[in-house]
Amino acid sequence: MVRPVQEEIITKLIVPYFENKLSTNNQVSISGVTVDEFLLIGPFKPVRIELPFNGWFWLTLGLFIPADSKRMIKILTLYHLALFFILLISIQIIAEGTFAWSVVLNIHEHVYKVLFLIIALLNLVRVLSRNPRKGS
Amino acid sequence: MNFSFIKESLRPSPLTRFLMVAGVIYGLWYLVYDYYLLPDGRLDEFLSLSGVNLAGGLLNLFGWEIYSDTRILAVTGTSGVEIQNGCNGLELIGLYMGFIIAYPGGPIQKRVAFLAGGIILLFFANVFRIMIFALSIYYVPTFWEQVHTYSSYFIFYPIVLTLWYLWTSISDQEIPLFLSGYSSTS
Repeated sequence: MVRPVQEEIITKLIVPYFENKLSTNNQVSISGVTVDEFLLIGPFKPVRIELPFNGWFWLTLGLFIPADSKRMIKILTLYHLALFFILLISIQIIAEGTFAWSVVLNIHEHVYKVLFLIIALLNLVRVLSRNPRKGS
Repeated sequence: MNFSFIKESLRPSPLTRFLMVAGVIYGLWYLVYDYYLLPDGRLDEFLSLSGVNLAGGLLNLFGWEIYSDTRILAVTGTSGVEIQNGCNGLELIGLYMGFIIAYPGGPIQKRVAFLAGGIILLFFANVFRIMIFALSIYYVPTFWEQVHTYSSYFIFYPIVLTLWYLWTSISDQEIPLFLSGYSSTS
């Protein structure tokens, strides 16, 4: 259910919008469009724009649920919702020539997913350590 | 006047400190990987070529007829799979290492041994993943895209999460204490 929605958003909304917008700026372009991501190419390291609610979201959610971390599930979901706007604004910033922003965006892309995953794991560890399996 | 209470209240909790250290390590890893290791290509090339060689050797051993040329591995009669730089598990190894390095506690020798063991395990997991790729093109070519996309979630992440979990147990830190400044439920 999620991937067809992501595909629609990518192919019918985001990519056409930015392709249209970027056509006047020959330095930045879009390439490698797949179901849930595309690359922003230009005079900088390619930036992978992965739509929110991607596989990492579900993987992390899959750890938060058994850990019963309602607060973190809320934060994770809100973060991914906010990412829609953050990514769109970031693409705009890069398209307008602030290429240094691509480094920030790339670092963020690598760091936020892992940190959520680590928090999820530590929550699960805490739950498991509170409820140790009883031996016979 | 004594301002130590301000200093105390500004001091991050152990969990926050750990997450900050992990964030910095992952940020640095990205910079090193994307700006040095990937353009340099030697480490990626070694991992790709040795992964393809081992996967091909194992498939051969189990009775499949294979064709292998540098980065390409194919079960005879198929186009096969090409292991490119960036698709050989090196990023995942960095992901694994970041946590082990940042997580407090545990003697240094144990940490180094655990890092080395984990890297070797992830390397062999990638060999297994390459075998799955080659076989999926032979048996279920229509599902290649799905196999490629989701294989990491089924092969790498369970291993990485299990190793992280084991490290939290091996490490001297008392987890409930470590997470004491952090409430997860509301």
